[in-house]
Amino acid sequence: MPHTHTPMLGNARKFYIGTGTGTISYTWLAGEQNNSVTLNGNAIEVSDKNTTWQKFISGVRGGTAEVTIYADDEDAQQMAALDALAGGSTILCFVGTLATNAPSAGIAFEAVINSISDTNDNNAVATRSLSLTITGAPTLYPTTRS
Amino acid sequence: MYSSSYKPIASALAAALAREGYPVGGTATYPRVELHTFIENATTDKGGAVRVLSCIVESMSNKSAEQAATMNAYNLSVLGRFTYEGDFSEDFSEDFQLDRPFRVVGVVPTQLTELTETSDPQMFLYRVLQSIDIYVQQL
Repeated sequence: MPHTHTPMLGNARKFYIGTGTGTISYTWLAGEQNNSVTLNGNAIEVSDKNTTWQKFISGVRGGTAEVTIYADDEDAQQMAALDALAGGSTILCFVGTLATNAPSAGIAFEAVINSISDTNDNNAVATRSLSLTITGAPTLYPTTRS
Repeated sequence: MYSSSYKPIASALAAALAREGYPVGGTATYPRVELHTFIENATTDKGGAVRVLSCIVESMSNKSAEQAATMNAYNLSVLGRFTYEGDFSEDFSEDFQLDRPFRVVGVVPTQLTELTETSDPQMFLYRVLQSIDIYVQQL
């Protein structure tokens, strides 16, 4: 039976950090307020002088992600993210919903951390934003298409 | 699992004022303090932990506006805002962590309103309504 359109709150589509090799264990990034993921097709124009309307082919694919959390300098995950930025290493991420600790619906990817920015506003809980660039092909869940 | 911060935080707030400030409630005599108009806002993180609980700490006097204002300033100093400033949040948290599973992240006084009322030609009631925002985290 085809899947019927079922919207959900963004609350349920959380940002997880993955650890381990082979079977990756994902842990929610505690204190997350919001996240966003953008996949890009990078259209390449192939129009010529005889073309009435612009024409494109799909170029190299890529993506970016953002996540905002409440800042905690002693939180293990946030410390790991800061270390990954300093060391130039990648991190494993998953955005979506888990079922028994395995990705159920969403997108899993490896990413380079572009920036980590803290916001310390007056009369507000301090926040920290991670800006990520996806490296390699992401995995979309569910992997089967209805 | 979401739970409301209202009961534990309101109880802790009343307890702290009873210990060190002007006691809340009691008999309907003056001067006295009341806590009311609690508003708990939606949680702001996906774990359902962090939110703002607003309320009004009302100081009432039938003697003078100055007495009501003094009570309010005294209660604010009990909350640590004026006396402790930078250490306010930490001190407040230690006092108010009695009712888990919530922790007070910080407290911000937001607005003060002064009202003078007459209940009859001879009776004046001086009210100072101090609004505060309490940032709380469910543990």
